[in-house]
Amino acid sequence: MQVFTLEVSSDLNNLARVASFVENAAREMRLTERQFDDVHMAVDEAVTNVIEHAYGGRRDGRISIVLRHEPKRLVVEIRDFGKSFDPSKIKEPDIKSPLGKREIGGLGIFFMKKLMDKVEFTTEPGGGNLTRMTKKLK
Amino acid sequence: MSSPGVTVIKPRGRLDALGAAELWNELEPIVTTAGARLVLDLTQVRYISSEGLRVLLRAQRATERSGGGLNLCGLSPRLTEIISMAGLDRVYHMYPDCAKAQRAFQQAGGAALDDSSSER
Repeated sequence: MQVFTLEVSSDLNNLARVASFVENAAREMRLTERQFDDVHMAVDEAVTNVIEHAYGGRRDGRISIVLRHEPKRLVVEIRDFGKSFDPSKIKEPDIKSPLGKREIGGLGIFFMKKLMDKVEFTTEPGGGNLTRMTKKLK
Repeated sequence: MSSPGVTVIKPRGRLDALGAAELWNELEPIVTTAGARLVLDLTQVRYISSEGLRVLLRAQRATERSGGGLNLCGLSPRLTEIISMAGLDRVYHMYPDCAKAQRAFQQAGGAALDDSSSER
């Protein structure tokens, strides 16, 4: 089992660093380009959620990211120590509605669920949140 | 080279939440100008997040409100796939060819013409 970890502060400037981290881990884990694209986007959306919702745009919050390559699956855990939030309560966008009626919110969660096989949000007892995403690897 | 009356913007790199905010700062003065016709050449964009998609939608709505339009071009297959996944391929005006994306404004006399979509 391979484990990759990164800790960053809750600054949108760190999203590029998170992307490089996922890219390097994906190379070590020999993910396909498509698998990397999916995991990278899901992680980017999840970290953006944490920065915007758990830390409300504050730049000094702690975010830890763990990628675990288990047999036949990849597990991503994103832990923050900010305000509790439950993204699963965000209404999913109606992707069939026309432009005029199109709601702009909820797309981040939509992509996380679409690109990964399982997405779970947990509020941690000591404060903060855990976003856990799993992708099956064939 | 751009057609008369058409502004072409060519963002580069990542349209993550940060890149999207920077792009909006650049687009806002343009799209809020009456009748703005804008082409976004996405050839150099290798990643777009939900925030990036939102900025494109906001820009399109702003231009259309004032009688202009927004055409997208030069999208990679992955960008096109992400846009379709969100159902936004029926909303955005997308052209593989950037010259065509500009010409569409002339042909349509101001409104965006999208021959790949039946929904307007």
